[in-house]
Amino acid sequence: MVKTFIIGLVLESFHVKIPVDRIMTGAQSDASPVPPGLEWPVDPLFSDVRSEMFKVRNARDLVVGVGVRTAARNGDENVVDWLLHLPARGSLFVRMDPSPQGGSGRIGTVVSGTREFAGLRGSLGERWVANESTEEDAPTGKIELRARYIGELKPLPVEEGAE
Amino acid sequence: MKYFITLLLGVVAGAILFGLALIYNPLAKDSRASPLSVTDAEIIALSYPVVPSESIAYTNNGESIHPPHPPKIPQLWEGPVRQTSALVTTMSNARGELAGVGIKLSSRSESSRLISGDAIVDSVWYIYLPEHGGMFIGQTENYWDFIREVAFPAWLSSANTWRGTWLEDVTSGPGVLGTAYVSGTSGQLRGLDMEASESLYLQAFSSETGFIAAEGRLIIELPEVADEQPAD
Repeated sequence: MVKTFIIGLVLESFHVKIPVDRIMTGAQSDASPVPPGLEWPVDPLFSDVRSEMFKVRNARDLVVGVGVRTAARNGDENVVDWLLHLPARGSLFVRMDPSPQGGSGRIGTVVSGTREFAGLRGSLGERWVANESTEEDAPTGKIELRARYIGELKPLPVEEGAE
Repeated sequence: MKYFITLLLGVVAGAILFGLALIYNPLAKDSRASPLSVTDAEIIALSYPVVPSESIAYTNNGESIHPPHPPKIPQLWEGPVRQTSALVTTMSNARGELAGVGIKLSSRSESSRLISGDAIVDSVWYIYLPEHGGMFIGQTENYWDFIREVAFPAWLSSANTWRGTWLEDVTSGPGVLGTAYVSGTSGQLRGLDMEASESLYLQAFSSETGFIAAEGRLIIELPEVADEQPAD
């Protein structure tokens, strides 16, 4: 008997305009925190932790969610994690490979997700794209996020009498 | 005229009865203690301030009773994120010592059904604890008991304030035992799948300004390590 599986590969693109979509940057090294007045803990525990929060846009440039990027160093281990929260759909948890790929970006692995993203496996790429526009008020650039995910393999129901 | 007054009184009485039926709804699910509160497994116990002004940062659509903090933080006013709030906070361990940083994103859920006692919020955490590593938490929370036992009495009070002691689990899923799921990403937690439960400990709440004295608590259950069997 031949088993048939449903395989769904999804490619999706998100981006964050810098600086307009930045909600918060928390790091001890920042002389001018975002937003003004933010007090990041000065404890040595936080010396190598940097958390950023952004509004996340879809390919049509509409804000569809909130993203959190945390980078940290703990001993020999470097950590870069993304949390994408899209209220209408669910959340995606991604662990990035801290080593840059080709010098301009990183690739991460989807660790897990909620609701629409539950049970998905795949990857997320992040890349900084500088803005070359000379327009006034133009953003300095954008963080491009390209997600590829695939659903769990599910056998199709076998009809009675099928061989 | 008398028919109109009768109709008006009927509508008002019906609305009052409906409100009371919602608040004292016998069909509402009873809240339960989290199974993690009696677990024998090793746990990570964390607490964090719920009052926005005590956090590192907090934002929402700017129209909630909780004002964004610090005041100049960008607000989530766009349609798809208008029902979302974001909290950035320090996390303390069971001894009350600083343990790390946590970021919680919460969105009102369309699956809320007040008639059955479901005031649902979909929320996710990213927590980084330098001693343990990083983790993601995904959960649904039910705030119905909070609304019924804290927010509604505060609204009824002449001072718009509730004071007392209220401690209850707000995590209601997606785990079959009403627990949240946790994925470890780095450090000792890397690759671990765990369960968690979040609770609220309240001492004062205002229906005008929100939480006055409150603390959030998280219990994360670590996977049991199989004991090595002694060789015969």
